[in-house]
Amino acid sequence: MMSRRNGAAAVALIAALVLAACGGSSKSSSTNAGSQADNAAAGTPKSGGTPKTGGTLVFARSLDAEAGLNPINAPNNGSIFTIQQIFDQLVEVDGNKLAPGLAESWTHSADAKTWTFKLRDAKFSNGSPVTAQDVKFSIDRFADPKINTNYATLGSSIGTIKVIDPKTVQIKLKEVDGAFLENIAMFAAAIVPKAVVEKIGDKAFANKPIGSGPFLVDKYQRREETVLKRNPYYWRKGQPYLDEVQFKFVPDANTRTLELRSGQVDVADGIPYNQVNSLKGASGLKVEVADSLKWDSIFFDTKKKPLDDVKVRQALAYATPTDQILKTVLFGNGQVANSQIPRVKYWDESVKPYPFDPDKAKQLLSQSSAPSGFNLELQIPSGDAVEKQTAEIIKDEWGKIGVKVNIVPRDFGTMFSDWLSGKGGDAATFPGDALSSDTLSDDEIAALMYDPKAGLSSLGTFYDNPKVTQLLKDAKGTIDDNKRRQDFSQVQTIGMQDVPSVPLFFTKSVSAYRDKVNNFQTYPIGWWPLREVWMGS
Amino acid sequence: MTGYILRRIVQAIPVLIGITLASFLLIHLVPGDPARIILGARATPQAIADLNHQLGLDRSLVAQYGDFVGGAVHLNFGESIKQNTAIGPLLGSRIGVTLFLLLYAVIISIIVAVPLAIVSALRRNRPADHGIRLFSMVTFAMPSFLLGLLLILFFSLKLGWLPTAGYGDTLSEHVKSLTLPAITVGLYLAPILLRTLRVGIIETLGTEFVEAARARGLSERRVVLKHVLRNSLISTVTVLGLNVGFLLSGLVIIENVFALPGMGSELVNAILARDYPMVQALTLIFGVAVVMINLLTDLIYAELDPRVRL
Repeated sequence: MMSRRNGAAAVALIAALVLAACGGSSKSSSTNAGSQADNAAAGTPKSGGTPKTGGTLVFARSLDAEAGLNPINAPNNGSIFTIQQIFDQLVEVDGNKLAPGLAESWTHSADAKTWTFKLRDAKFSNGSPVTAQDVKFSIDRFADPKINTNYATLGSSIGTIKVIDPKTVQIKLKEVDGAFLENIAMFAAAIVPKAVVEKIGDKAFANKPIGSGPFLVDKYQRREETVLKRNPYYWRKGQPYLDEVQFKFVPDANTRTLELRSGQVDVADGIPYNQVNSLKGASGLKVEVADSLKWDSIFFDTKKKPLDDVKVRQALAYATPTDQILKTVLFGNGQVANSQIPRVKYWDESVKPYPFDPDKAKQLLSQSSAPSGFNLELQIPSGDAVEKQTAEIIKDEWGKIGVKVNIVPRDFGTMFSDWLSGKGGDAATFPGDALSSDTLSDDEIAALMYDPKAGLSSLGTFYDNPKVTQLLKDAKGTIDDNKRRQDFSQVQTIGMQDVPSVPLFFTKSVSAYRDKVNNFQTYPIGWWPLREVWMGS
Repeated sequence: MTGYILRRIVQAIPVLIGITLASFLLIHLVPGDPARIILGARATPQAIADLNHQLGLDRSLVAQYGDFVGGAVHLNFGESIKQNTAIGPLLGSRIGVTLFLLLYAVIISIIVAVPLAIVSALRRNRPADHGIRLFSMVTFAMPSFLLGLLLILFFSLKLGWLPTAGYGDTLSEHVKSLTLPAITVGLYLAPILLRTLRVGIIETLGTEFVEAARARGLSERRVVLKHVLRNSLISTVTVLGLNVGFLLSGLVIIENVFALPGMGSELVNAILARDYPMVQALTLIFGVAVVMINLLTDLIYAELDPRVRL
């Protein structure tokens, strides 16, 4: 009897393991049921008043910096957004544009292959100065695919780095790179103290990072909380205003909202679309619906029949009711997309999105290689309410033109690996926050989407148009902004004609905060310049 | 008694090996690639192959399982793939949270269940009994994420008595933080105990020794509390032990709702990331805990009913 009882418990435990493994994430992203939200203005106006120094900001976050705080190879936004409070780059992200960071100024040679950076007087949080040696060390690491395994492609144009004097660094490029400044402004190119990293190694540095950013790490408990304190050596005089930032990991969206309502936290991110309106009505709270570099699409495997026929893909694009999905599923918190990549620097507003036109769709399909329709397997991430509802609406509409959709929800990690190797379904959607641009230039995300040789098989669509890859190459090979803009605009136009994916939406990041929090802002790239935040009464 | 305990511990070893082996094979059978998950969407196939090699995931399953068992014997569980840090110290704090919550919930469920079961049994089929059974049906059927949120709404938001979520830093903060989650779990567990205990009491009340005790003029209070309750508790203890073992792996939702850094949410996180070493370590700990709880249950059982020890 006794051993039988042990056995039963073991079976129960294993059943729980299997269920958890197959059932997908229990932290499903936003669920939607409730009233419709109007489209809120993006970004936050800067609040008036003189900033006050002092105070603690308690921030309930949907993601945790559990993967460590080392800028090199930081794999996800949980870590990246915290890292950006601790570190600086040579050139900084300032909203939609670049601004001087640790480099006060820079010049480049006529052929744009030699860049010289003048460093400002800045110190790391341990008191030692930021030197040209530290910059060389950090950028060398960024360009080294053996160290920077995840993002080295973004530093592939970097050749040799020379220390001219303690305050001057010269970077020689192997080839002209139109996105060079944007690339060295990303988190992975953060300037780290050479002496510390060499002494303690990357593993220990991930737990005890030292940077020159506005905050330093006081307490780091994975999947619990990360406490940041003011870096007394920070180079911007008077900033940060806050004494302390407490990041609390609160995975459940409802709990985050309740924490904010009860006043136990000052800011909460990852607010579900369906709660935007009720939070807007709550006294003492403000809601921010911010632009992002994220987007949502239905990707096609263009090697599979009949999706290899562009007429079929266009027909499906015309049969997709984006306006209806935006209204009912996203509660208006987004924008119908006119591009296969998110709105980064060179987004062309004038390109037309596909209108919802079932007649046109039927007509195109009748002229295609599958005039009488076909069956299509659409794989979606399991446990994601937004993707599920979107897929259901699409199934309905595509069914009306004779395309029978079979929706298959799968654990996203597995699904994504299969999808990239061409072993997934005929079509797929990803969670809204799965992919976003890490830089303020289109080069990175455009290469992933359109260039099959960029490593991800054109995001699993296997799309391969020599004209587009040439345009991307041309754009990368110049720093002439007008030329680049024209090239990317052409890529966008051709992409919309070839439809390797049906663009759905440019999505928004939703956060809410108490009104004593001043200057809170979410950058499109995803993180917040918390050095500018100050607490009112 | 010592021999009995030793025998039980020895019996547990094959069970633990079975649990770890089964979970090891299962998690490796589930498709999905930890390297892809760690390196993110952008990683190239080469980077993924390199990481798999570095993590030793390109070796045979036998070699990987051997490594795990070898390490576990020395209480060395290796490093978490996803969290990039040693598992031992990380789980040290998680175990405390989960056990504290479990113990707290069991105490609350006993405080709720025992008096109600006695009243319910003594007033069988009368309004009090119906009321209690209705109450237990409602709290048992209510999903824990809903009950948890309702409790937060009332006690944290309306009354402001208790924190909404988190675990706190000091003992008194821990107690406060765990009160609402413990009530949530306790209200799920209490009806199970209540029903078993109620039936047990009703059965015992009809036995001859109770009649005999009454005939000897013992007060009703003494009869119920001393003789009936003790004899009715035996099946309830078994049910409690089984459910606590089950709850151990089922605290995930509660931990999520209340943002508690416990083992349940850690396990789900590890499974989704295919964090093999972490899944293995947690499964082993859960396995040991279930075996220990069952042992404890049997010891209490043996204490209550000396015949078991024979």
